Amino acid sequence: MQIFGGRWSKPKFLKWAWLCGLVAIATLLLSQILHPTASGSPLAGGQTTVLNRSSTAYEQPAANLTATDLEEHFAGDLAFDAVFVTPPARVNAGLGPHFNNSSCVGCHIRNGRGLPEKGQLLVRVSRPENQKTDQNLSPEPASLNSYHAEDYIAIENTPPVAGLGTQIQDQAVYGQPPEAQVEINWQEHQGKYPDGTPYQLRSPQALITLSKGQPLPPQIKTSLRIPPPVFGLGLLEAIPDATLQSLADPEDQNHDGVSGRPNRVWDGQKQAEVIGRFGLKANQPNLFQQSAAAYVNDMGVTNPLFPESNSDIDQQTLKAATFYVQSLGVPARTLLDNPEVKKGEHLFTQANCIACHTATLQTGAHPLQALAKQRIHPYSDLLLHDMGPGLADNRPDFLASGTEWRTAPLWGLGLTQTVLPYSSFLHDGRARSIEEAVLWHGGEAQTAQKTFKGMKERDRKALLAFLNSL
Amino acid sequence: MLPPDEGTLKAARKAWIETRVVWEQSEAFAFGPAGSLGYDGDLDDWPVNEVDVAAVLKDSKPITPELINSLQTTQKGFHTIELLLFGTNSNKVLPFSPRELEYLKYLTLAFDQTAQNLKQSWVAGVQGKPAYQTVFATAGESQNSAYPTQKAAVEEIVQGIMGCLDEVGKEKIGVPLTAKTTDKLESRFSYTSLEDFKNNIQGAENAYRGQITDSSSKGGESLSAWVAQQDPQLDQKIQQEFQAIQTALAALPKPIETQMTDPATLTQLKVSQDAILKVFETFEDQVLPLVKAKA
Ligand code: HEC
Ligand code: HEC
Repeated sequence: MQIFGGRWSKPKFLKWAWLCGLVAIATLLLSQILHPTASGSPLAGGQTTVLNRSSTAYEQPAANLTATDLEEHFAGDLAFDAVFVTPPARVNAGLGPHFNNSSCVGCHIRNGRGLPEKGQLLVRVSRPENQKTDQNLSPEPASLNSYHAEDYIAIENTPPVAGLGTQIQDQAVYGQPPEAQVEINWQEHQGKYPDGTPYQLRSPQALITLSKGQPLPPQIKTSLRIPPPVFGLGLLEAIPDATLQSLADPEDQNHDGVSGRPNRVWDGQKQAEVIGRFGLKANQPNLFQQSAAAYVNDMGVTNPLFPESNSDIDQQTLKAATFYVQSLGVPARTLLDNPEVKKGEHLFTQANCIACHTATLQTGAHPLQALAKQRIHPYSDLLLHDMGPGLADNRPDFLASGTEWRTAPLWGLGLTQTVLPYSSFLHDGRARSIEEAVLWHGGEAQTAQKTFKGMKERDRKALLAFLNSL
Repeated sequence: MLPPDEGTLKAARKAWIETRVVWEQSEAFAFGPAGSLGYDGDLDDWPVNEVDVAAVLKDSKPITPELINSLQTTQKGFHTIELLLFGTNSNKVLPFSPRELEYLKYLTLAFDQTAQNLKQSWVAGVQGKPAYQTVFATAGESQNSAYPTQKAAVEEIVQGIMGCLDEVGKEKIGVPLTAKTTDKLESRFSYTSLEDFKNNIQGAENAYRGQITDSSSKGGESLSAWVAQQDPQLDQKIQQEFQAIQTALAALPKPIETQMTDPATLTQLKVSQDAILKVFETFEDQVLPLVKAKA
């Protein structure tokens, strides 16, 4: 069995955990008094914050959970870790027939991000919007049973591709062909800072071969996405809609070159259009729907929200997995008193990175009490921004255009390679370092990127030191 | 390949059990490449996809390294090899079909390669990445993107120990204890789940004492020695608590798989779980704060 973090679910432990929690909260409150400003606060996730800078940092339950919450969290941990197999089976039956991976944690490794590799990288696909039928695109229309038509909420701007649907499942149970094979080739790009220092970037090119051996027709739109980390998401769910609306500036009325707008997506339970928050284009409304979609589309595990003909898992399991991602704590910052880090934080503000990477937000109400009314430092506005042609996937997703992405939360960023050595950054994992991620910024972030590039080497290092302290 | 006889089958099973010892003892420090480069999953995914393993056996496609490579992690590694060698209830008998022998052969070759890669990732680095032992040993140096402080590296060792104790207590013992069935006993095909518990705990103790075997301790270079310097009583307490776990596990019937309906077994499992809980608490309650304050 693979090793997972977490804690004890025993009453005896809980009593002690409670005490310990109180002590932790007291310590955290104390440190908040010592570091009263948003800048320099270690409490990235408010009272959910956990003090852990090891590879288990993303696997900790929020520090302020009640004993009952903790029990539920542990049940969720088991659900998130469960590896599914082909039915019938005594344990975890329900995989496939088409899938990308057999467990949540297989993609969100140690709750961090996945790599741009088979089994972790997702490819979303759609036909061009003006193409009424896809007959010319798929030479041999696949039969209904030989691929997985995703359970998604139909939207006009991502019409499904025959034989693929809107997501490529590149694995299948033994004996069935996967929908397609995806191979990534990396293209290198050379660049130079104004001070003459050279740098190298790389971007992915997906070579997609359909099950009969033919290449994916070039008209098909594709979007490569690596699994993002899953901690702190309950807090993001608890940010009031009004806050996101107030952060938006779609017409750029303050003329800082940065606009930003929320995505609007379909909520399958409410049967209504709501603000999108989750997924790399903010294409999911909440963690319940996000998790249910992950089960059915990424793992082929049918569930009460997307039952197809039957449910492989029950409502309790679906809720448990959702609760797990809601109730993970956010790691506290490190090296707060380091002068270079302090300078870097100042430069981050000066370069106007905060126009999108909003440092401080306040959560509102949430069914999970521990998430309510928290002052948090996610470094994201959860809004969509045009990031320029370099990062564009050219595939729309609800309101998000082919150049827009949701501002990536930067909390816990410095632990990325502690949790998952060799993992990479940005939506498709193209950036091998944080520095490369900043250099890819374009579009609305072009000015900030230019400011970064124009800094003295010392200052660039300081800015990166700050990002590593998150 | 000569057909196996009782002697070679016994030797193969013994080799599986011995390999298991090393792996389970390493789980207390399986941070780094084991998870991120997929080695852990390739070697030790669980449960086995029994339907798809049966499908491989029924199929006529030749078994090749490429085919093994394309399989799901739940169709290879320790537990699939275990299923093929021992059967579903440690009840497999000769003869094996030619297809079973082929599958076993290529699985073990792939297993060996993965294990080599894992070792390589620590000592020399793979895919052009730096050796992970260097990354870990240079914690606190300015270019280190994994461990910006030495304290973080010490915390890593403590969290590794705690993660291992947690997993044995909460999952490997806890889940079957609640379910009162063998379904979730990790090595139930070979009837060696109890060995897994013992070796995981031994691994946690080894990580604490900076040793691989009882005699390999380098005296002075261990978390134990450091804790003893700060608080000799705490170190003693931990050593005693580890001893108590070993005693509790030693009192369990072997194999545990055939005794899961016996109330005495369940009681003793609970005793073992409590003992593990106790040392886990000591680490979280006392060692971790000490590391955060003083390391
Ligand atoms: C095949 C890999 C894969 C599997 C398996 C998988 N995910 Fe994901 N997950 C992703 C990717 C890729 C995204 C980003 C999706 C997008 O942008 O459309 C994501 C996004 C998410 C998010 C939103 C994160 C954010 O920052 O907005 C959550 C929550 C999540 N997944 C939970 C789960 C759960 C729960 C499971 C198991 C039921 C699971 N995932 C299984 C790849 C995976
Ligand atoms: C116009 C909005 C905007 C501005 C300004 C901006 N960013 Fe970003 N940032 C984003 C978006 C959107 C993403 C996600 C892009 C993607 O995944 O392709 C992102 C991603 C990142 C990432 C990668 C995070 C990850 O988890 O992979 C880093 C690091 C980052 N930004 C740092 C910065 C820094 C430093 C600055 C200032 C120099 C800055 N950003 C300015 C919008 C912005």
